[in-house]
Amino acid sequence: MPWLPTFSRPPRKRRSAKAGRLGRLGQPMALVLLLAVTGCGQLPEKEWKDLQAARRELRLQDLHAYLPERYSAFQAAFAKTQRKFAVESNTFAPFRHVDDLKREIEQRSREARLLREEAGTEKERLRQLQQQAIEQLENSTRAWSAETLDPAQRRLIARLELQTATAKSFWQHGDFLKVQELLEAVDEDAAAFESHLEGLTKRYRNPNEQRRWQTWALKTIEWSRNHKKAALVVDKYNRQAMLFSSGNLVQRFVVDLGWNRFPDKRQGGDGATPEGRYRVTKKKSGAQTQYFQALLLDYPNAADRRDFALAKRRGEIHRRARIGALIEIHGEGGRGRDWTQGCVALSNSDMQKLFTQAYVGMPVTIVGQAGAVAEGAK
Amino acid sequence: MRTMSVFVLLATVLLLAGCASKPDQEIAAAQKALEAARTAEADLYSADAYTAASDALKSAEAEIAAQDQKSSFSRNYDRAKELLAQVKTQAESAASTAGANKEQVTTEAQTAQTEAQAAIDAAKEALAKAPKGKGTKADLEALQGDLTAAETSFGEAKASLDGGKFMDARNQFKAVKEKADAVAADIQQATQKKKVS
Repeated sequence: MPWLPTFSRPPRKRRSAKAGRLGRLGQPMALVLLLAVTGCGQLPEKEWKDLQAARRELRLQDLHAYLPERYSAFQAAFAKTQRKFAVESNTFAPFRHVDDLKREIEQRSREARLLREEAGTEKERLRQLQQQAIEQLENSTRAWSAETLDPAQRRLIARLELQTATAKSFWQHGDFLKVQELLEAVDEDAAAFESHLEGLTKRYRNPNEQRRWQTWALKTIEWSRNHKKAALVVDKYNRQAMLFSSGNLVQRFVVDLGWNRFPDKRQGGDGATPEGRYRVTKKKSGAQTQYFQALLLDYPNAADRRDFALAKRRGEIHRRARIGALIEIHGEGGRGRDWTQGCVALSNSDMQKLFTQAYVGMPVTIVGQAGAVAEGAK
Repeated sequence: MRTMSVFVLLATVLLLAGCASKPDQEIAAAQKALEAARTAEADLYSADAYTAASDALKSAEAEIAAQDQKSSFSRNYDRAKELLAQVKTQAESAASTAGANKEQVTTEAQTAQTEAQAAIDAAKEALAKAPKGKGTKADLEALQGDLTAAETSFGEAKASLDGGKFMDARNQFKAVKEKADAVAADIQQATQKKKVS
């Protein structure tokens, strides 16, 4: 091939035996030295420590519990990197795959950062939700407690209050996972209580009961119109008493009822206000009453006695139960909750207004809910 | 002859180096220390130190696994031993810190118990002394209901304390005290109302 340049190897210089040995060893040694000086093969110790710290932080803040699946995946990847780090740290420096390891550690660090951010967001979301739930439970139990003096119900409500307060303590200590566990239990109890309340008011949604109550109320108003006299209708559900004169509504009063607010009275001592059509049998004032002024009703009337006897026969009430008596419309009310043993209490100023209009024989009709009658009487 | 000697020497060195044995004793000691820390509830009362110790154990295990993969002539468990020593120290420290922290929470729970008991006693006394008329009867009976609930919760808190759940006990006793205080205040209010009327 004539166009190719021709090279001729220069003649080799003869070296001494010693110089030859040094030369053969010197080249790799120089390479190793060079690699060592340039830091090649140096382990990313700092990055590794930072990653370990980031992972520990995730666990310490319980963040692993907020995104458990993501955390498990991260843990598996971390373990792989940990094995790789151990392998590389036991490899002779020039032969380490440091760049790969660095990349992997960086990747894990990014994942840890992201996980921390997302779990932190989740934790904060949970914290706020729990705060709302606790506040809501506090408000509900406060309202329920103010609504009733029924000792059995109060025991249940107080239990809910105590559970909520315990959850709040954990919440204040930042133990949101424990709070979650507690709130789930409180929620269940609160739902059971709500359903118990709903059961109590069920009869208020019964159309037959509504019709019966409306008929009583309308008959009372009609009587007032026909006789041109005053009559009183008490609406238990809305806690109001309506005074009619000649069939026209002349006054509304806010009332307090028996501490067992929703049911009809079945026996003495049950704390329920009786429902029925009654008459005032006596007007009491001064030393005759400890409640400022009072209108004694003819409870139990014939209908009450019949219902009581029937309930006894059916075994719905104890055979030694007594029907009760002394149901009055009286003063010392206006407390904003139901506290009487079955009477209807008005504030003293309202009682005074009513007392002046009242007379022996005045019809007093007590219904669960006046419904359209009360609406129409506006 | 000289070449032979060098070969024998080299083989001896390699054999000695290859004799590095797995640090079984150190692993057992580290695991034992970590287990002791867990028994001392360090995971609950000294989570920081406990997590560091269990992380160090994982690192040591990874290091041992890496060494195990090597040929028996080049195995070296020195770093693993270092890490295992670290595990032991950190676990012991975690156990000791947990002990102190647990003691503090226990003291807090016991103090809360004393305070809750005092609050219940005060509320009971107030309830017993409260004038029971027709106007206060329902109020007082309702407050008795509240107090009964507080007493039930007190029993539960005591069970937590006896069961070593000190944080639970502390927070439960605190809630009981708050409720009993509220009951006492309500009794006073009801009594006051009665006096006024």
